[in-house]
Formats: sequence, C-alpha cells, structure tokens
Amino acid sequence: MKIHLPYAGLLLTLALAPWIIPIIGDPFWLSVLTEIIIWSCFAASINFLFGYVGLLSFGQALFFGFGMYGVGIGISSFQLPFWPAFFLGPFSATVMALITGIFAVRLTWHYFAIITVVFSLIFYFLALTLKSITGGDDGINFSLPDLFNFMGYTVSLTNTTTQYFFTLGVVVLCFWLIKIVMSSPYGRCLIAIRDNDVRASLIGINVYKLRLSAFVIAGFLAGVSGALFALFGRYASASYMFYHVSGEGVVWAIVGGVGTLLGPAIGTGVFILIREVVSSHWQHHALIVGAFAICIVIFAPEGIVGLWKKYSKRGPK
Amino acid sequence: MNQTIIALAINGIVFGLIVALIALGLSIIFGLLDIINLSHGDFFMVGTVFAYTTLSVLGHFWPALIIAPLIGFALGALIQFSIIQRIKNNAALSIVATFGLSMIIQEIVRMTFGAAPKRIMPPITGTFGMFGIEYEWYRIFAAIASIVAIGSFFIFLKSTKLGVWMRAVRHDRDTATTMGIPTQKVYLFTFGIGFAMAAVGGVIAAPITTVDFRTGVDILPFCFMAVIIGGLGNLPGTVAAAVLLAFLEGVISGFATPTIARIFSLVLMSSVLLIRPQGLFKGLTK
Amino acid sequence: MKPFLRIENLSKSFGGVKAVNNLSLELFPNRINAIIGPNGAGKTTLFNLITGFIKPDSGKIFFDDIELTHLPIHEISLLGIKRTLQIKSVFNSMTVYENLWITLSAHQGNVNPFKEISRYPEIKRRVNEIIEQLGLEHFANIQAGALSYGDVALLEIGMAIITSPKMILFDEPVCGMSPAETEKVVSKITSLAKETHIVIIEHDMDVVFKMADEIVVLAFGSKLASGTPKEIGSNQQVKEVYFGTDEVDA
Repeated sequence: MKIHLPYAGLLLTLALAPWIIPIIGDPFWLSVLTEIIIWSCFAASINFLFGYVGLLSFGQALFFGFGMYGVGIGISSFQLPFWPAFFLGPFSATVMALITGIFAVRLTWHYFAIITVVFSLIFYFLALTLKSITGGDDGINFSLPDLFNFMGYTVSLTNTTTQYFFTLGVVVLCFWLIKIVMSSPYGRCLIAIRDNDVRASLIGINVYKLRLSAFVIAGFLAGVSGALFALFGRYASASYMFYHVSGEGVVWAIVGGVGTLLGPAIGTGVFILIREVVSSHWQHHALIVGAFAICIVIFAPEGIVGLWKKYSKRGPK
Repeated sequence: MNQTIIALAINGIVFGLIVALIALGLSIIFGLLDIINLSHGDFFMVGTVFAYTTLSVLGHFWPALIIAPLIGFALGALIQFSIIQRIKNNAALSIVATFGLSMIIQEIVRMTFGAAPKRIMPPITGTFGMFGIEYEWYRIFAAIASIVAIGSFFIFLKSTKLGVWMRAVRHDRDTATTMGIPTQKVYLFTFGIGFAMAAVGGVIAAPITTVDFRTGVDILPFCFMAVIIGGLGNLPGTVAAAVLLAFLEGVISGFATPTIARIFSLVLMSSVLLIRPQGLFKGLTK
Repeated sequence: MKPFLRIENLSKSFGGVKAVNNLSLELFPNRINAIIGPNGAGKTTLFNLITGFIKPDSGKIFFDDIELTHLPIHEISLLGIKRTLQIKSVFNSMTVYENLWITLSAHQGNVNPFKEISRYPEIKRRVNEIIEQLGLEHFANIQAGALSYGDVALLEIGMAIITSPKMILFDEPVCGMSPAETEKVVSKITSLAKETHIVIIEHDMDVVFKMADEIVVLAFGSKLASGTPKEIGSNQQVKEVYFGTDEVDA
C-alpha cells in the first residue's frame, strides 16, 4: 500500500508539531491544533455524506453529541474506565445513526437536509429537558480516567502532548479508513449514487441500503469527534448539539473542498485558525469568518482544495 | 389553569401570525431562488432592532412600521445583488453564504446595538376582558397588523404585474425568461420583499419579545417548519402551518414546558416529512 | 415457443390520463422486437413499468415466469434485465472506463468496502473488451460528463451489454446519432440478438424496418397491431394513427 508523498509530509509535520510549535510560538497553539484535528473529523463526517454520496446532512451535531455524552455520561454516571467510555461514545453515535438513518435516508436533497436538522433539534431539546443527566446547556464536567496504568507508569490525556498524539492517531486512522473505503467498490457505488441515483439503481445498486450504510459511517465519524472532544475538554454540553454546530461543520467542509479527502481538515483548520488569530486581537472575529465564507463561495466554489488542484494543474509546463 | 391555557393559546395564534409573515418571506426566497436562507431569522432580528432604534431616536414606535420594510427591502436587494446572485442559485453554496451572512449580521448588531437584550414597551398599553382573562390590547393589534401585512402580500402577488411575474418565475423559470420576464429583477425584488416582510414581523414582535442579537437563531427553525409542514411552494399553507404550530405549542406549553412543546412540533414535522412531504395543506395550493 | 416477456392487462394512469390502458403483450425470443407508436402512446411508460421505475395500477409483468410487477428497480436489474434511457444518462463525474467498471461490479453485487479497485483483474479485462468492441478507446479516460451526446449513447449501450444480460430494453438507441454511428449501433444490436432478448423503442422508421423481426404498435396506451415489418407497413390502421386519415385517398 503506497503512501503518497504529500500525505507523508503532512503526517510528518503533524507528528513533529509538539516540538516545532513551542519554538515558533506559544505552546497554547498545540491545544488549538488538537482542537482543529478533532473538528476535522466532524467536518469529514459531513463531507463523507455530502461529497461522496450527495446527501447534505445538517444534523451531524446530533451524533457528535452522542459521542460526547457517551464518554461524559459513561465516566460521570457509570464510572467507566477510559477505554470502555471511549468506546461508548462512537458506539452510541453509530446506533443513533442507524436508527435515525432508517427514516432520514428515505428522503433526498432538501427534505433530507431538513429532517436531519429536525432530528438533531429534537435531541437537543431532549438533552435540555433531561438536565439532570446532561447538565443542559451548562453541561457536565468530569475528570479523566487514565489511559493506561501499568506498574506505576501512567499515561493520561491530561498531558497535552499525550492528548495531542492520541487525538492525532485516532483521527488519522479515521481519515485512512475513509480513504480505503472510497477506493473500494463500495466507495464507487456511493459516487455512482451521488452522480445519478436513478442510473445507480438501474445497474443493480440498492440505493437505500447503501445510503443508510454511508449515513451510519458518517454518524460513527461524528461520534468519534464528539468522544475526542469530551476527552479534550473533560466536558460535555447540550449546546454542542445545536444546529449551529452542524452548520459550522458544513461551512468548513464546503470551504475546504467537497468530495476531497483533506478538504474538511483544511477548511476546519482555516476557520479555527482565523477565529483564534483574529479573536486575540479583535473581538469581532465573526465578521471576518462570515466574510471569508462568502468570499470562498463566490470566488472559489470548489473550495480551497479545489483551488489548489486547479492551480497545480496549470502549474509549470 | 384553564384561563392560562386560553391566554397561551391566543398568544400562540398571535405569534403564529407573526411567524407566518416571516415564513412567507422565507418561502418565496426558497421557491423562486432555490436558496436555503440561513440568515432569514436574522432579518427578523434586524426588524426588532429597527423598532428599538426608531423608538429611542424618534420617540415613537409607529414610524418603524414604515421604516423597517423600506430599509429591509433595500438591504435585501443589496444582499441579493452582491452575494446571492453570484452563487447562481446553487443550494449547497447558498447554505455557506447565508450562514456567513448570518454571522456578519449578528456581529454587526452585537457591535452597534450591544450584546445585552433589551425590551421595549408596547405602544398600546392596557388590557381588556376576553374569555374570562385580561388580554393585552397590543397583542390583538399585532395579530391584526400581521393579517393586514399577509393579506397585502397575497393581494400584491395576485394583482400586480410584479406579483404575477414572481408567480411565473416560481412556476417555471425558463419559460418565464423566454417570455420576456426580467428574471434578474424579479430575484432582486423577491429577496428584498423577503427581508422586508421579516423585518416588519420583527417590528410587530418587538414589544412582545426581547430585542437581542440572538433571537434570529431561535425563530429560524420555526419558520422552516412552517414552510415544510405547509408544503414547499404552498404559500397559504405556510400561513396555516405557522398558526397551527404556534397554537399547538402554546397550548402544550400550558401543560408542559415550552421545550416539550417544541419537541412536539418537531416530531410532528418529522412525521409530515416522512409520510406526506408535500405538506399537510395540499388543497390550498394555487 | 414460450414468450420471454409477458404483459397481462397492464394499466397505469397519471392524474386522469391513461398512459397504459389494459395492455396485454407477448414477446418471443430469437427475434428483435420493436415497439413503435406516436408520441404519448405509452412506450417509455411501458419500459418504466417493466424495469420497476413505476408500479402499475393493475396487471402483471412476467419475465421468463418471474413476476416483475412489484420488484424494486435494482432487483429487476440484478435479474439480468438492463435498459438504456430515452434521455441518455450515465455517471458524469466518472470516466468511461469507470462507468463500465461500476456497472459490472454492481451487477455482481459487489459492495466490498475494503478491497482496492485495482485488484479486480477480471472486471478490468471485461471492461477493456467492451471498450474495444464499441470503439471507445479514445474516450476511456475521459469523464462521461465531457462526452458528446453520441458517445454517451454508445457508453450507455456498453453499460447495457457488459454484464451479458438476459434482456436489454433499448429506448431510442440511435436518437441523435450520425448515420455512421447509427450503422455501428444497428449492427451491434443485431449481433446481440443472438444471445440476448432485445426489445427496442424507436422512432426512426428506417432503422425499425431494417432491424426488427417483430413490431408491436402502441397507440393511446393499448396495442394497436403486431406483426412482421411487412404486415405493419401495409396496415391501414397503423398508417392512420401516424399520419391521420388522408381524405384524398378515400
């Protein structure tokens, strides 16, 4: 299995980040990078459905929330150790994706987008109502059990560097999974459905079943990012299940470049960086973010990765 | 308890009429331009800010009812011209663009108006006895004003040249263009009217809600619900759905929390989408 | 000889208009069957009913004794029934090669998410075979969305034949093609008829009368006449339905 040079270079840079960053700036940026990586996985779940299957989900925050609360409630209410809690997050998100997907995937385009919002709102309001369990908008805090405890040698995510590598490892695995799936016959079927769902069923593809499976995969990815987020902040809050969070993810994915592997990561990175950089100097960073989104949509509708591809094709001849 | 329910129910109808006004704007933008306008709730919010500003600057509330639609229309047309037009009716891109727009509008309001929620006093004070409760005069006015605005809109659609053009473009864009209808101007106008209607709704609602840069976010899903349950493209249906939903939510919040009432509307909406996506009020389509 | 396709009392209305009106039909193997008729006669609707796009209001459809009437589209396809569409449509973002690849892979029910595409040599071989047969070598790596109409039609035919299906429904296969392309397609379909059941909808009368062994004429959703090209050519009713009654020739 060949690993392309650009990917290898990127991975290497990311792997060395904990040592590079303190040299060029404040170590705080390592946490920002960790956050970017976590949310890239979220954007990737949106891109998976929209870019490869043609379904725009506006409710991935729902599965993010289940991933987040799976970990949070697992630790605070059930006192689960690390690995079971970390497993519970994406697992419950995946189950939810299956249950909601059975209904949602029967619809397409506008109706699909809308019902994903509706489902995510239902659970948002439910989470608000069940305040005793979820802490509502204020959320719940919890302390992190150790990752690994052996003969007095403890590995815990409270260490920023450990946290970074753990997050990086999990998300890289997820992206690798996406790459493998999309290079398979199954992935080709998804693209066929995206291009022309009528033709797809005419050649024998069970469009409903494949869409549902893709929806479940996307739910899993969003759940992973939710679980990582809970571990990152030792915190879970219903406010992260609101449709605004889904919307941001959609913006990141589209600006990064729909239907590309790294698009969601780049889009997420750009927006979070803008937010962090600008907000340290000027409190009205929302203006810049909004203006940037609009400019991309008007001048570079294929997203940042699309721009890159266009210019690298025209490159030195 | 009984009387509270009645009050809540009537409040619901009043609120529903206001939302209907806003949702109609959302519906025509969606129907004609194929744009999912995520900033539409913020247009409403800007309307509430107009009301507050007019009151504090001019000392009177009533001018806002004229100022808001005029400025709102201008702003809407400007947004359509500078941004929306360039996305060429691509629904996915419009989500990103209107999301960005929403962020910008909210931030501008936060910068100029401030982050703290404010309230304004209703221009008509006093209550009267109705169904055994004391009901505010202003809310009755709000209902009537909304009905007048909605009615004017439908008359406009049916009787004026521009209204006919709008309906033609909604039915069949390409045929309308070949028939010589200036579709670009119609789009400008549609977006302008959409903003204006939401702004007027904001003005009417201002005295009975809070003026806060975040109120758009809460009202947006409700508007979408009205449009979908009423049936995409079914304008009278949107009105009926908005009133029905608000009425139901009002009544239910008498027995349970408003949050539970909202959950109920959302579940109803899911059912409609899954079972009858063309909406509940098919018979009312023109 | 048993019919390979049997339609029994098939009816379908769209909002008050009877597109297919109590149609009964039998098509027999070892001949090229053509379905013709004026616009609105119900030809494409019939294809849509057979392939599962729409469900009939009443009646049944049998293919080799298997009832197709209520099966979903993809299941009908997997039975070996393939079709081309009136408005040619393929997978625009994929290349010609990829279009053919996925057609064959999907027919084999392949939804493996882990094995890489390049590791299917048998599919690759068959795709290249079809590309050669149809003369699509120049376009193999061009995105389908960039092809000319005639080439898309060729691709569609390639997609219809690559799985060696049991029955192919061609909906206006030479529409919009140049005479040279038409010639190529006609000879291809004729040679196919030896191994596959073929049913064609076509408006080009030259093509129909040249290719078809058996013609069925539909009008207003019902069968007006059926027979050999010679019989149909001299059928007065058929002429009327196409050209109207000629009052000069009393």
